[in-house]
Amino acid sequence: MKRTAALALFSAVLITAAPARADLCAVDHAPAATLLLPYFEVDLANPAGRTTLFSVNNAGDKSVLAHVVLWTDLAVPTLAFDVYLTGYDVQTINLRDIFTTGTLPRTADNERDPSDIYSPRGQFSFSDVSFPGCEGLPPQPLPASLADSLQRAHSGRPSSLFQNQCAGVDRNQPQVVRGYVTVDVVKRCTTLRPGDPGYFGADGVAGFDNVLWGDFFQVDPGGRFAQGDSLVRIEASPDRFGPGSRTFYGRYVQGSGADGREPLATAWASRYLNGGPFDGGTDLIAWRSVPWAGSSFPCGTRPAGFPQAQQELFAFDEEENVQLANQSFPGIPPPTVILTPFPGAANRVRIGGPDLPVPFDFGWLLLDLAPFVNAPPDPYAQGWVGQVSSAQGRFSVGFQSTHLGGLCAADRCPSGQPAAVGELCVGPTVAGQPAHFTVAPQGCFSSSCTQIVHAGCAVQHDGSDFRLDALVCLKTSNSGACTPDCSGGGTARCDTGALAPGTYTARLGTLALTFQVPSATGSCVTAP
Amino acid sequence: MRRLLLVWLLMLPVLAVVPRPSVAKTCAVDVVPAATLLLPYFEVDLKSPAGRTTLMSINNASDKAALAHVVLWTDLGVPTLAFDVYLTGYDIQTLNLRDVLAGRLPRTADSIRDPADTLSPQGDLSQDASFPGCAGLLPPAPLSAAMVEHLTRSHQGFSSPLLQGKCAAQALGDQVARGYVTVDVARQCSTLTPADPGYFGLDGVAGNDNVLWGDFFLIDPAGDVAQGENLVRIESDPARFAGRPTFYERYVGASGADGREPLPTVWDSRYLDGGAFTGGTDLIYWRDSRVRNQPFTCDHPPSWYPFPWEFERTVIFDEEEHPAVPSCQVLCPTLRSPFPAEAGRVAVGSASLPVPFQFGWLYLDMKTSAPAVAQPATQSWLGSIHTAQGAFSVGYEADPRDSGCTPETASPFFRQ
Repeated sequence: MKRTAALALFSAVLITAAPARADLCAVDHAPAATLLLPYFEVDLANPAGRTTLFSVNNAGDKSVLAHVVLWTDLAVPTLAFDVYLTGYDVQTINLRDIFTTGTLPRTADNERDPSDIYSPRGQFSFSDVSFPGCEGLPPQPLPASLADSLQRAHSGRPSSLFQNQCAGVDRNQPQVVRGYVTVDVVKRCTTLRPGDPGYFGADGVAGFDNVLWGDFFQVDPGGRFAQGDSLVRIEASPDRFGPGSRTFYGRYVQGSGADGREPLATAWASRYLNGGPFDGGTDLIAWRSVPWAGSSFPCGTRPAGFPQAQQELFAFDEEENVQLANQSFPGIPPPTVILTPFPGAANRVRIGGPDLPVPFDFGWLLLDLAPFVNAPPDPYAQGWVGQVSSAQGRFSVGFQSTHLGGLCAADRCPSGQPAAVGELCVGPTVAGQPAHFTVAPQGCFSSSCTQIVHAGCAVQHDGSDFRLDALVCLKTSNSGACTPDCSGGGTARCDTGALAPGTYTARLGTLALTFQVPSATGSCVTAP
Repeated sequence: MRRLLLVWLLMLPVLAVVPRPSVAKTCAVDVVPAATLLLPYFEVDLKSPAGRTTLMSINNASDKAALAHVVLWTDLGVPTLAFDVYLTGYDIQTLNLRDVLAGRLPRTADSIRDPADTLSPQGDLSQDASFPGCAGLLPPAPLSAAMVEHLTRSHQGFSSPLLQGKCAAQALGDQVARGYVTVDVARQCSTLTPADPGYFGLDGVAGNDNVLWGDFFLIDPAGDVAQGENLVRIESDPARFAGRPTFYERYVGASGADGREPLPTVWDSRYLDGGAFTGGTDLIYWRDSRVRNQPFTCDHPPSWYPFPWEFERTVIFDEEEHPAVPSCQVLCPTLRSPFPAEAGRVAVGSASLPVPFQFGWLYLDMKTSAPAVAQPATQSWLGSIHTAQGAFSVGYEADPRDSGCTPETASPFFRQ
């Protein structure tokens, strides 16, 4: 153990850590309520072969429960288990351990681990706690038969998990398992998956604390390759996302926004290299939501909608010469041959390979993973893209691609139309209490002819100011007589945290509303 | 050449639908096109032509032509070189810092200086343009021998004749040139740097279009390891940042005239020294001294250097959350920070950053109370590199714990 004279354990004064900030609608590395490992693969034929490691970390001082779900590369969930994390805890997981020996991380909450054998806590970690429903912690190793079934499901073979149906792509590589992983903050232990009733909602299993962080490594010891990156962070804000919002788990909550999780982007830009120091070429790793139900299917068939195409796929070289791998335009017949390099939910594809035959050695790709023009519209379409460039037999690098376009832009109402902001108001304020904001749409909307699809608002601290983010989606009908009132536009509401006395400014788009704390009266600012 | 199964009939409609750069989502360290790119740390081993080097790319996310203004800075924040890279729409320009230090600059030119498109050809979806002030600067000529000497000496911490015999960097004595690079979208060619008057503002050199993206690789061919990551994207939103802290705040006062989002101040980073990663963990860092640094008499570095180690702002956790806090009880000496300069690389577990555990994570508040540094916050960027000795390595950005727009003012671990 290394130690220097300058190091000593310090008897720190414990205080409660503030919850991590939520910086919504950006693919950033802030702690989040959900982590996504976008793609994994484990070579089971070789104990020293390719594997995927990841860590689940708790950024807060309070204990949390992390619910880990393994999904096949066709988005069928196969296994769910819980990881108890004390404050500031780290749990690392090698997916090889799960698939080969059925070993799950052995953690347990206070009631199941009063002596802190499995989940010790540190000096800065808040009190150990217990969660309901966790009698199964620490988890026992999976039976060998279950581990075998998992292997079969994740390699595209018939699996007893699904009455000998299939759940993944059969690449004729029975010893290689593939898929992706989600990790959600939860309120209690459960075997439910995000697609199950009861997982989200007011009484649901899933929580909203943005406290999880972590990373992942794709390691190939034999090939002497490794790549690493942060797990994709998906922040939650149940106030910001509501009915009609596009969310990460939107398909599983039928667009209700009940998951409260920010969506990912559809448009991405990735560089590729096949030469120079990187003579091993470039692979893309792409996770994308799928338009089919996440259930098993008879082997030899495929889910309806598989393989997925994409709305746009441009290949540029470094002198901006461009080729279109596929394109779609209203009114123009689509190309007769459409590439589908990202057919499933978790994909890895070689740029320049048969699935993505780019004619250049160097350049970049522009992708839009929204559905192709002749595919049914998918209000939940989203994705994540990363790239891995390799030097043959020597080294490799991997990192997230660049996302283009907004994640939560106002034009993304899945139904209805986004309404322009008309008025921002703050109610009376009291020192030590939150300030309450309301946001009203601009215009007059008859209550009998207007359906409020979604009205959501979120507040972020911005120095001494507050920055509001609001989205109101309205669907109007002109059939029949509309009542002559203007109260149909609804309002979005959101609150700050507790405020000390002082002067503050709330900003929403071009609107700026300065207000006092305390104040017996509210105030408003109206769009011109 | 392999051929795609393609359709070539749709060029005109394509022009209308290629995605444009994203709308700025400021105050998050996210991977979107931006007005400024930061290569937070570079190193070039000058001992060996096949030794460590740093590659970077500058890409244009827009169909419109853009001008990228590249500035090299030493690890103590002194600018040494500025040059322009012209990018047609959707263009890519790669740079090997070894070439730049040897005087070989990327040869690009705008439309008026390259009418035949021999230097900066354009694709079918890309626009060409001309920019003011580029006569004599585009395409750039190879640097003079005197300039090459200046660069290689300055970035190793030696005196430079072009700096009147002064120094500009840490002298670590290992024949490795170090520093960092900024790339700003610009409205005109220039030899100015962000530290110069006239660089920002309504009539300034710097633009505000969030169109640049790119990546960088630290490559050690001899060691068979490489790491790659996105260049740090610093988005511009002049309206939002007027009068507020910004990335280039030290050069524009409190005006916010650069319009660039600031970087975070507090970071979390995992470290590993064992298992698959027997080579341990290095951290690469960039931090803001908040000082307009000048060349200095050698052996008399800027008064802020080295940054002091802010004990109370560092916590070392193992994987069972046992914390270790570097501290002393009385008569505490001022110790050198593990992150003493504006840019650098430090091994976790080394004498510079001792840790008592093999695995865990670090809480690092990169703000400083160095007397010469203006308060309250010093922005920063942190990346982690985990290595398996002689086999492989991975590198990626650490986890910002706060936002430069709302710096964490109180440690979650100690009462201030």
